Amino acid sequence: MSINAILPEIDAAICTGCGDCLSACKPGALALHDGKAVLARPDLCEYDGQCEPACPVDAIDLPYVVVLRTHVGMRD
Amino acid sequence: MNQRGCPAPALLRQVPYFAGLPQPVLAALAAACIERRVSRGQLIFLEGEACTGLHIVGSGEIKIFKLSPQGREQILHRLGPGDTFNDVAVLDGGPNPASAAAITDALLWVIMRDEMQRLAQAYPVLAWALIESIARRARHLVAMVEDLSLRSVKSRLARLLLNEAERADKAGELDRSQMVTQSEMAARLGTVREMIGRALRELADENLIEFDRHRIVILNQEALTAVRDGM
Repeated sequence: MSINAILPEIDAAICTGCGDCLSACKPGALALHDGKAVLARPDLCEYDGQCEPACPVDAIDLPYVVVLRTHVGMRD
Repeated sequence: MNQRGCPAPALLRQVPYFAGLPQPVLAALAAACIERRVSRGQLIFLEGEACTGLHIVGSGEIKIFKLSPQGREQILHRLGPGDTFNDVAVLDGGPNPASAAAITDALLWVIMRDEMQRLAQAYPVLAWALIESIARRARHLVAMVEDLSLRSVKSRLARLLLNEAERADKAGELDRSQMVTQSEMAARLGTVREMIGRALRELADENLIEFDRHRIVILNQEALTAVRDGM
């Protein structure tokens, strides 16, 4: 699994399309499509974790892998 | 796999639960297995439904969970290859005590309760393996009760992070099953995501962890262990 494949996960079934995550996403990776938030520009995503707490209905999740400092670089 | 899609006895031996069983018992178990494939996010069974049998995880990740009336999820177990679940309902014949869903695509082997009863009566060594499995589960649940009632969210989170780092260290190439979201952390620790976010920020402010894109890096394992132990 490459780093580029690890992106925020948006549950369209939960998303209400309020747009709060778009305001929180400074790089502008998110957009509304058919009334739902989508990761329209994954190449811009900095994985800064701002979208997840901005969502009032918990529709966005960022998966993390937990590593020891000594193992950084081995778990990409 | 044979014609019923069952695991070979050698594969069943890789299940810690069955590892010590003699070959004839493993062969009988393998013959009783029914294959079930589930997709990521798919519900496997619901709490309160009639028991559907003993489930063995062949591949993938499964969560066992309960839902509060408000819909808050508490994950009781996160299971991987070689783990079993729904042992309790198989033994007492009652409804499923919790719900199960697939975290990733998964392959399961299911042994129906009546088959399990027949095999346990025929092979007392299997009955003893079942008892040991239930005892291990009871220990896990007692530890969870202690965690939820006596430890702070921060201390529980420190334990989770250390366990996850150890789990990821043992795993092979990185895949989604080795990753955890703040919502999943909250569901496993009996709290809400906001509390997890706050506790993670506290740990980061104390320089015990740092966020590096998709990684939570443990900077000071010793200090994080002290937080885990409430010291």
